[in-house]
Amino acid sequence: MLDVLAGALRISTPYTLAAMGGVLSERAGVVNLALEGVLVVGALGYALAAHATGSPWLGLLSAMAFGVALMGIHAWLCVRLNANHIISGVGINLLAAGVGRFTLKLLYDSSSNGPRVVGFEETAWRHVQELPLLGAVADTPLVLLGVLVVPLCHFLLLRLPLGLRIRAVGEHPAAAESQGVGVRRVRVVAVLLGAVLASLGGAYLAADQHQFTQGMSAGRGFIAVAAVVFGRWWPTRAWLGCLVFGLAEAVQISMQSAQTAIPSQFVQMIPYVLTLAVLVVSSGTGRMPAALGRPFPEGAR
Amino acid sequence: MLQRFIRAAVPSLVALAVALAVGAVMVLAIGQSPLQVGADALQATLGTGYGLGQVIFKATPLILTGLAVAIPYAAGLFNIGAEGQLLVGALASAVVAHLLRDAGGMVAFSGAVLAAAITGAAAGAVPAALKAWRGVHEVISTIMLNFILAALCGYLLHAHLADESGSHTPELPAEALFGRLSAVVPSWTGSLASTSALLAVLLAAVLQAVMFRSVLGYQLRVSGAGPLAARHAGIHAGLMTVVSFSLGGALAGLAGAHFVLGARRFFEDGLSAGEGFLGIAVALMARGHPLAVIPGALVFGGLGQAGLSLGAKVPRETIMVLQALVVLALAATGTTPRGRLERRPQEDANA
Repeated sequence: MLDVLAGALRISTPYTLAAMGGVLSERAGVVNLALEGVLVVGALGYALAAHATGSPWLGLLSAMAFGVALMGIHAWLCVRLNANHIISGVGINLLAAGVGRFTLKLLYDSSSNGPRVVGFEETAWRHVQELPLLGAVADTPLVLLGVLVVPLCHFLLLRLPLGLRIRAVGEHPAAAESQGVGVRRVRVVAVLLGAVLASLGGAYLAADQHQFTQGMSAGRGFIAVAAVVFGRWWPTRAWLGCLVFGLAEAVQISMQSAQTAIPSQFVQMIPYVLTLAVLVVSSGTGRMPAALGRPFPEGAR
Repeated sequence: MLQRFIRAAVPSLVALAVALAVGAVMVLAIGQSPLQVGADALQATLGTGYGLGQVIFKATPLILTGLAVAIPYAAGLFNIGAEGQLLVGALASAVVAHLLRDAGGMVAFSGAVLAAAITGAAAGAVPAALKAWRGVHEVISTIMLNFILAALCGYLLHAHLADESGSHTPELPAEALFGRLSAVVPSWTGSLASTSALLAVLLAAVLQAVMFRSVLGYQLRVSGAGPLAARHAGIHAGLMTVVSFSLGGALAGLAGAHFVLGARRFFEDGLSAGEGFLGIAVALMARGHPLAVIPGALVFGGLGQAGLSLGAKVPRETIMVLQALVVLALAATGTTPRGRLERRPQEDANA
């Protein structure tokens, strides 16, 4: 039982990191379906650098660079060019999938997966893994980060000037501008900050599975968006949603290995059915940021 | 008229040009000559009767999935679920055609086509109902349904419907299939182009008339262009959501029938190679006009066919990047035609 819970916390890491990215971005008024794509290139960036250098730490840096570069396109299209946020997000996800597959083909002549890359058990982090309790949970530093980032995001949004600005440009950009807040700049900062977090979620996937695989994000970015809706755009509640999704995936994995009578396809469906159910229950219960998805200045599109 | 048409086509052409330019850079990056690759691509698609037939074969499902995205899009909704709707339509057509195989080719064929449309429509109605009932955003629900429906079809196939091969449904008799166009155009011999292409073009023309010459089409377009105006005009938003998504699902389901009854003769895993997602790029390029889906589908069908025949030189995955760039470039230039129905900021408070 404790194993399953520790597993759930570990497995929820990519969801949590992506969902916190989603909270920051959507609180600033930018709809973020691009999280899925950022998970993909985050994983790709980690795998490429870890394979080339043998260092997971450089892998993390590279993941962030890849994530920020991809999300930079989303930010530029949505904030500068007033593109439709959803179309841009869909395009970003297609681009990430295409770049991932193109890179696999080009570098490793494979249509599905890359070579094995190092994880954190091959670094000094293994001393942490040997610790009682903490070691069982935090098998990578990213799990720890995933737990810490929730109160940090909460603190940022509620207590720091930047957080106030993020909320202001997401609720009433014209009022924020009248107070001297650079609406577009704050939006870009929030979206890119979100990209840093989400790309580390992608790095977690690649470090955990020791390789980059085509389609390895498996909709986790979209599920994270569902967690944001469930969380009513608050970090702590969104985290709760991510823990539930992590638990579902942990149950799914243990069922897959336990050879139950339930057909494997139904076990595969668990996270997606649960996400739909969560959305049915929670949609419309929270108040979304008032300027979410709206261009600034108004009518500029 | 012509001038208006040209002006409406400019953003799509610019988007395509941007994507092709980046594609040329990618070709350069892997050490090939873009001019040579371009010439080879033209030769492989338009240079031979076989190539032309294959382009039409590849474009057919894209016309249908393009329409599957374009109709809800005209009503202000995003159908990212064409991939899942296509799969259930394909499975239903394979099953029904097999069950009716002794009732005569025509019965089996029409039953299968109808079954594909109906199951596709049902799959499309689910996210629409969730949106109308609980406000569940259709983008996320359709993506979740893509995963769920793929797993469901996999289960049904392997647990109940596969023949002794274990990997696909029983092979269908030739009378229950779409006819090959090469029977009429001999130079296309060998290509898989079938009468499903005629069905797709016919549907595009019918939907063009529906969208611009009927009350329903008008109501759908008003819902998309100005939700608030639509509400004041007494147009039921929930009903429009369900109608447009069911229509879209039916069209995607027919794309599934195209694969089963037009090429494979059975249902198997991995039937679609992302045609549902390619439909998004095709629909955005068409900017709300069903007939305009056809040129976009031909372009992407041609790129797909070129990618297959150039596989040795340029990875097929290049096409995925091009399609993404088209979507992004269109996002940047705006995807709704400017005019009387231009979105006004105060109207899309629910966007």
